[in-house]
Amino acid sequence: MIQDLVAGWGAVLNIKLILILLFSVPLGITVGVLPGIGATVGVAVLLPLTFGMDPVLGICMLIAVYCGAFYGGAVSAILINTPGTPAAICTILDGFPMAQKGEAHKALTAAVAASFIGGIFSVLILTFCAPLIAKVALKFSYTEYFAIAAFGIIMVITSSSRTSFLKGLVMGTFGLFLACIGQDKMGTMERFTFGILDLSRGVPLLPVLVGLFAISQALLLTEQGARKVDLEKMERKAGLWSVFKLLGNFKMTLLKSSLIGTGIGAIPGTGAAISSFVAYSEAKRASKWPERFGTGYIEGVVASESSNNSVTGGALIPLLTLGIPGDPITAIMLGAFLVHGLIPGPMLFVESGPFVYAIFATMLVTYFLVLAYGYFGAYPFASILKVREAILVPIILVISFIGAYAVNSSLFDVGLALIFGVVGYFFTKFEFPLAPIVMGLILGPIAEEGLRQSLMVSDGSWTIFMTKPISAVFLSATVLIMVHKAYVLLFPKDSS
Amino acid sequence: MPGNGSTMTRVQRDLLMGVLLLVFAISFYALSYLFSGYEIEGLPKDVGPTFLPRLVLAVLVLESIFLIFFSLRGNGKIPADSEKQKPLWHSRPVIMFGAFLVYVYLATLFGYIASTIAFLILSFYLLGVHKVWQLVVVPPAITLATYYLFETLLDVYLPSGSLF
Repeated sequence: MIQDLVAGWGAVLNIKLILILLFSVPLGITVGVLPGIGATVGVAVLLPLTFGMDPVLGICMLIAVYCGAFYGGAVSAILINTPGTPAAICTILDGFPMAQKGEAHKALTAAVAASFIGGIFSVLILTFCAPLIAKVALKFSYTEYFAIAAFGIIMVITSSSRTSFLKGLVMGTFGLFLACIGQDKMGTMERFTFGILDLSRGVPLLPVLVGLFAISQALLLTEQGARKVDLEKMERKAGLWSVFKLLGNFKMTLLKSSLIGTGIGAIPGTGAAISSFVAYSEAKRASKWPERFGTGYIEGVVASESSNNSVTGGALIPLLTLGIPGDPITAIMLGAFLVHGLIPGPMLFVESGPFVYAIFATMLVTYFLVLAYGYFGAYPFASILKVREAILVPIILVISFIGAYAVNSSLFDVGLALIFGVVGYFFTKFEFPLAPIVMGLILGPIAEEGLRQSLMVSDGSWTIFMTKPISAVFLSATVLIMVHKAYVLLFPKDSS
Repeated sequence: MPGNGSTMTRVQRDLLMGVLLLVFAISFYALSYLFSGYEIEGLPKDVGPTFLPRLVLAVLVLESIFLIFFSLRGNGKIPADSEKQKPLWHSRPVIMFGAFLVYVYLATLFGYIASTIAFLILSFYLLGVHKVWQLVVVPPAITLATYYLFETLLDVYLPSGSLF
């Protein structure tokens, strides 16, 4: 472990990577600042940039964009009352009132300082916990993988369907159907390929991601009129050190929020918006002055930002240790790993230890850069909000084309991205969540292989899933969540 | 009740989506009986390659029926309002998507640079950028910058055609 740690840091303390991070962090903050773009679309659009890079440089670049974008969401939340990313939705509650009181700079400084603390906290947890989890995961058999995949799918469905559990369920099932397309891995049977050779290896992940998250979002952006940007003035400058000293008064809030963010982030399918809500509510509940929350109280900004940034480290735990992405952003990163021939999972720690530790080290460096860029460049970043959709949309479409085309130089992939762009556009218009489709597509093959191999091992006995403790726990949790959600769906409170 | 404004519209959309998904799932379930290839003989108690696709599609049929059922049940309860008039799609995304389709086709014929410049000029104009200098300067700048970045710096292959 120590050798890998040293080798990982060695890979990061490299002028090429440092230059890439210096460029990627502001890029991440920029995409985070722009409402409608955000971390998911930003990482999807920037993914093609990594194709020609060395794997370490490419993945670390995406990590930097990912972490930067989470802070970027706070800038627009505080200055124009619109979260750049869903994760910053609670930051609005106190951040914008602070800006209206002339404390915009103080709110932004508190946001970046809390983001820094939350981010660093989660990276430390990731660095120490991920190798331990990977060690345990090395002993997992197909049975455990089936159970974890089933749990992951149901968690994504549950958490991404704000309007209806049923819609999430439909989308998750649709994703599982997509995962069934292609040649059967344990035989030669062609499933729903219609003789198309490109489909034999299944529906490729990258065009689906580009279509669902970049092209569909670009089409949706064209519907919006010009964004009215009325930036709150920054009358008083707040010193970074004085804000850090102020944050000393909220040590418990910082600790609890960072723990909540890291913990929630580590559960597949949850995400930063949920952690932000939970941390904000907990901070308000535990506060001596709960009535101050929502009126421009700095503790609200601190709770929300430390929590949503600590999700970044947490969300990488299932991806790196089990190969199971926790949310759409880590799903896109999974795509990047696969493009570079890296398969996330416990074996990654064995075969590419230095690479894994380079990711951890990159995240630490990234958060220091977020702090520096965030403190000194908050207002220049905010001015990016003035860039019109008319300029952004065509650029997103052009880069989406490159992203879909470049991996295999295949027009089939571009066609697929176009189809999923339209599918994503209509599903979003119809208020059907997109994340479960991706999770179904990614986890479907893991679940199918796990199911079939386990049944072969047990000679067809389904009890194998309940006799192994980890599998039993995850499957029981999956069934309980399903039953609870089905009950709520069939017997809603307001109909009684 | 919060969200009533869009509920009627949502109900109709859910109904439409439910019907479409039902037709989709039933069609593909039927198609699963036309799978080509063979199963490996002698595997002990394998549920087989058709098990999951059929299970998933059967579940999708069930979910679609639920979606239709809940839409119809909600339809009588929830009043319509102004959001009902909102169109399902706008003309701008349709035009942009059409332009994007043509761009993809032209990129394979004329190459990345020529087609991207043309696409950017057209789409900027369609989306409301009418200043001549922006239309003249920005598209070639973006095209050449992305070409240099991907093709030269990152060795990512971009389509080449009869022009450049």
